[in-house]
Amino acid sequence: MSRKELAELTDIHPQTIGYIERQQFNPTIELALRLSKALGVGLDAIFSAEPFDLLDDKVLRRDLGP
Amino acid sequence: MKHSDRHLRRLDDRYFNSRLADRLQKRRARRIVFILSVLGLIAFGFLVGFTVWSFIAPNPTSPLEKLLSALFWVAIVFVIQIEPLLVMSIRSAIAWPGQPYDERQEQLNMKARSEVRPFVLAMLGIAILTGLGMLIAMSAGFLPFSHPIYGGIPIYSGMGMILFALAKNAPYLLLAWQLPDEPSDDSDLGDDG
Repeated sequence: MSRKELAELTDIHPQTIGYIERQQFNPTIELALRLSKALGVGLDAIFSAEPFDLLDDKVLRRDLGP
Repeated sequence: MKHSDRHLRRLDDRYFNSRLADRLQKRRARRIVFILSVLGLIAFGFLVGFTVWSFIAPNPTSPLEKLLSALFWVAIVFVIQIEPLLVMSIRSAIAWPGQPYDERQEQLNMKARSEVRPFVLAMLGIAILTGLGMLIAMSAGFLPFSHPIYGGIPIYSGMGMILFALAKNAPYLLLAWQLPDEPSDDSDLGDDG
């Protein structure tokens, strides 16, 4: 899904998505819920107080085992 | 500043057809636009003062020549086109016709307006108090109209214009100064970034 499509679904400016991704803007809970609904995932899948693991790290851990 | 939808649409087209688009997303370029805008507003104030002076000063030129010379100076300011650059440089922070105006933009604008309020009040206060002081001085005979500076009217017109213009544009100027760098792929053209 492109930023533009997500922005249209949530009725926000496309550049706001970029600001949220770069942590230059913290959305209100209302907007966070709209984004979560539009993406079809839970709120905790897109927002977290702790930094998310990089995808590379997850893949490496899976491939190398515990 | 309040702009018409037509003016903004024209700027929108110009933005996407401009090689400046990427550059204006960088903080450094925005700060250059900020400095140019402030200098442009000051220059505009001086030109207003000059225009007023050219109308009231007795000189051998005809009224048409005076009018043309005034229009010439105003035209120069428009040719420089600083104001569109300022608007385009804060594109991500202001409302554009046909595009959503969301909570981030609202928050940025409200923050900018509240931060510049003391400055705006100071500018308007100085302009009003200086104007009143000038009127009192003129009516008391300290600043006669027959004086070579015509009671200070041209100077006050120019300075007043600078103060009002700075006060009016202050939120946009602050946004241009404060907005962070935006990656060049952070456009609203539908990229997947």
